[in-house]
Amino acid sequence: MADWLFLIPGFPLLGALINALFGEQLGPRWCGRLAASMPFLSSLVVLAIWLGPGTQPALLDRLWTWMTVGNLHVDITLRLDDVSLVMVSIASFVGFLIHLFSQQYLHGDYGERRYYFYLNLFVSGMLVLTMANNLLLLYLGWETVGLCSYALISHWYRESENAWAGRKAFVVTRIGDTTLLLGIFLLFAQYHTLTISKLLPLVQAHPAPALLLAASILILIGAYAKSAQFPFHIWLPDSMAGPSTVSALIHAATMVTAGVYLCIRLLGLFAVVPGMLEAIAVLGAFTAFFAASCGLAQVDVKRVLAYSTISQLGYMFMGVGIGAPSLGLFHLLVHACFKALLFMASGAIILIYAEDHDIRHMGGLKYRQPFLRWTFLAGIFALAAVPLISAAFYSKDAIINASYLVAGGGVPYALGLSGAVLTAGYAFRLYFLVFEGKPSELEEPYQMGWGMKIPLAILAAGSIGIGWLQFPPGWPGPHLWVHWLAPELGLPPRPLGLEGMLLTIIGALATFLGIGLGYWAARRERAGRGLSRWRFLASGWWIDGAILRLVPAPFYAFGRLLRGGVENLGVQGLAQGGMRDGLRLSAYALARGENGLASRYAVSMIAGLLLLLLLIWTWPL
Amino acid sequence: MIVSLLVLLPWGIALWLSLAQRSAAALSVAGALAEVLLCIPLLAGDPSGLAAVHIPLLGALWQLQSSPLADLFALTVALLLPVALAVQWHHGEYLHQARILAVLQGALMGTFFANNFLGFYIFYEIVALAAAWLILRSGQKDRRAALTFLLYTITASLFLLLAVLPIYLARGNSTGIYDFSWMRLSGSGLSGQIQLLLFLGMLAGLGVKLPLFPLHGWARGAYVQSAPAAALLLSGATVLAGVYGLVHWAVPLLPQGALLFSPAGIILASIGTLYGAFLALSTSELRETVAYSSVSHMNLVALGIFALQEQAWSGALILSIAHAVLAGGLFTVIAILEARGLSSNWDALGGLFRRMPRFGAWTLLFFLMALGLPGLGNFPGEFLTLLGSFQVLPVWAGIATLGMIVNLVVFLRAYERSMLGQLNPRLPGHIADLSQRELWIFLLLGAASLYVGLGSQTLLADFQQLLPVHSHLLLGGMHGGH
Repeated sequence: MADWLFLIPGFPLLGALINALFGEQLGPRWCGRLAASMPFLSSLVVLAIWLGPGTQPALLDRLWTWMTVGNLHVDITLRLDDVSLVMVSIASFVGFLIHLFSQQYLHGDYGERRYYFYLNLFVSGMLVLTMANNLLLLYLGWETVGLCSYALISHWYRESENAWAGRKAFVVTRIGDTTLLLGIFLLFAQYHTLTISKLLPLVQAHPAPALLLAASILILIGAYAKSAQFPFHIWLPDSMAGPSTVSALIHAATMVTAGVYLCIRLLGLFAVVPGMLEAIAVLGAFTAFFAASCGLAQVDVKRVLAYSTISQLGYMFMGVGIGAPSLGLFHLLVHACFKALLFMASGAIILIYAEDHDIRHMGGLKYRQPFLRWTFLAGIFALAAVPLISAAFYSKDAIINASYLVAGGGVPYALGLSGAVLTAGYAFRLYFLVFEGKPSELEEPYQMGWGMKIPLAILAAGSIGIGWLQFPPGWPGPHLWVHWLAPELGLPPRPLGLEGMLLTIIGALATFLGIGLGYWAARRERAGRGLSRWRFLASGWWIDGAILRLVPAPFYAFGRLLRGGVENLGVQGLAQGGMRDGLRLSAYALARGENGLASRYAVSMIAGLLLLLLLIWTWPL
Repeated sequence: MIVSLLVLLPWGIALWLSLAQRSAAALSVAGALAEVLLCIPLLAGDPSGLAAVHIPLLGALWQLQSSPLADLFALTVALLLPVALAVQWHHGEYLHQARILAVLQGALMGTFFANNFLGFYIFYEIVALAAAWLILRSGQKDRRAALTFLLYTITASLFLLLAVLPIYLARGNSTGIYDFSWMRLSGSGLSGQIQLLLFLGMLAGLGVKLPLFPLHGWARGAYVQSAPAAALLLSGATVLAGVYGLVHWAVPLLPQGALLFSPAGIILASIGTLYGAFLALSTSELRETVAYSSVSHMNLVALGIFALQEQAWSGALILSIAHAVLAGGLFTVIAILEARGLSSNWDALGGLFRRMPRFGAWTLLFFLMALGLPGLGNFPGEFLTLLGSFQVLPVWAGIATLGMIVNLVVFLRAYERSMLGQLNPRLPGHIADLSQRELWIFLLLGAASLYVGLGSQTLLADFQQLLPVHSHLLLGGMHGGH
């Protein structure tokens, strides 16, 4: 079975290749079908692994040697263990659903073929990233998804804002990619290996505190940039310029989770550095709170979901930071379901409202789109973590509760809990504004086909039911998840008994409080006095504007300074002019004329040199 | 025998093109392809690599020998020439340029295979002359660009010669054999300080061709003023002469000097890498973008060489080969724009993807290669160079690494302004997308890029054979290792 691992990223890559070479002959319709079948085939292989050999021990598939120089040895080797199996399942299956949804959603749009090419390449890159056995192969997948993200955000390239948003995303994440690369250099300088499974034991056996601190920070910046964590989150709200399906796949379900995945993968590294995990927990909780507060004030349906993604990723980082990576991974899975659902549904909503993204112009959609309403509501339930009947109740609340137990967990717990109130608030504000109330006159008739309904239905079922894999401790029902992952990730701290019960109830109350907040916010918004008028929240605490104003300008100015000062005056002017004038004088003396200057210089100089050579060469003879 | 043929065949073709005009275009292509075929037995390890002619005077010069690195560089140049010819196929002065390109190619082959320093030096000068001739007679016929190039290279190579003479004399004094061959010159045992001084001299001569910061003054003029095919060969192939000179002559002949210079060299090259990237950031002219990013990449190559560390060294070599592919791609992009009468300044472009989707897709591929996307050609070289030099001087290698961010902004911005966004109303109504010929050029270069990017081990394995030869010469002075 292990020999077939390459098929998992191989199918989508093949799809992208066929599309690139023969897409013109196939036509956009068949390009789409071909593209959709590829992640489906991948997910079949993944399913076969679930049913067949499993991933304990981890499966390895060595393909070829990428580069070997001295003590550096980098193979293209795929590795599948329990953690990456979860990631691979999400990427291939959710990826497939999104491809399926796109068939109708993007039909007749310009650039369909290009869209499917990048979508397939993206899935392939994501699968490589999660299955990489060494940090460099991971980096290859990491940058491939970055590129696809760029291309897909700029998909509707004819508007300059979209192209700009794509560039912004790529540049911000590239800053992180570069620090990640520097972190890799540091680790290699000390431990002479890039293979993750060899590196971590070495790190634990021979810790080098200062170096590991630097490496962890550099790698974390990479993870934060990719996962849109504060203050690198600025690219994600703008990335909503791409099609909604792209947001569903890349900016919710898969790529942005790569940072969390990397943190889980390298947990052994961060654990060695004192205080690092605590910092990750606090930063994660802060991002969760901060982005949730911004979500309350957005009026663009997709920007609400964008800030929600930043916030939910914060919870995942918090889970990793408090020593509950298996819960973080669980929430990653749950989030992939409900956020892909919400984004795709929001795509349909935007189509229904004739490309209007403003939720203040919407309302009463439940009457004519009952299917969309119920599936969307399932996603909203999961986002708000409605007790018992939504999956996030079992994943997100578990993380918040676990943080209460951790030493120094007060700050993450408080931030996480208040974030949960805000989350339920913006989730239900969105729902009430779009689906409840009077129907808006902007609404257009739209019939979703099966290709759109099936993915939504499956994801809705997942958003409700997937949490039942793992009930809170002491509850009757399955406890499959954390114990299955325990050999790799250990058991998370979990509150038991009365304490656990109280924390669960507090979490549930937070949700209900948030729903109330959402109802209030929606009413005020309808009355035209909503939170969206609060610029501080609507602009995302002014962070984006401040960074854009302060950071890029000095670099451009520095470039202009180098050009005007050093290059034009120094290199081009002085050196070249001085030399030319000097030579001109001497040549003038020789040639007594400006005519044919260049060739005369050349000839006289070469003749002189050859004479000199002849002299030297015959000297000892 | 083959190595002599590699030098003489292009020269013969050039001569024929000058004398007879009949079926000349076909002949130029046939010659270029034959040159590629000739490289194959070399790479397969043909033992007839050594060619020496036993004629007094000339005999000492014409000592040609193949080596793994020389073979790879020769193949790169041989492959680049058909690309250059294809790029300017419909150019008005095709034959004229083809003739100069053939002269240039032959001379480059000579620099790679020369086993005798005087031979190397003379070939090196012919390269400079042919390149200057090319700049002068192609493109905008700007004298100043050609003159600047000529003055830079000839003045500099004087230093090269003057730096080697003391080695020659010292070896002659101690052994009694006055000979310029590589074997006789190496192992001179000069003191470190003197070696450093001489190394600086050789560096002045060779660094100009790279071009190493701050000796790059000729690059903007030469790359911007000459015809795209000429600029393609200048930035893709002639720089290889400089790289080869450093790797095969300067460092092995003066290992102590190279070692002493190493920290300063790393700092200089790392500044140059960022400098090129920042200059590329401050222009709206695609040609200048390409020119300065080429300067930036070649300084990264120099960084890898100066680091004297095995990963960095291999990285520099593979990067210089990748850079040839990249130069091919980027200058083809410019050639295609100019062949359609379009400006290469992005202010006059904008939204071009709409009119030329194929061209847009391919352009993106080469831009991505230029910004070092993993999987494409530049990445293994950049990674190894930076990883290796990071083991020697972490801070400065780290600074050079930050150039990757600047590079990304440079190329994404150029792409956005020229290809994406609203269609520029000043663009003509109809613009032809890629022709079959142009598509094939891109396919070939794209395949080469993927090959270097993912199959890098096949190339690195060749460098491994080369490294032991040099590492013992460096008196175990190579940094790092274990």
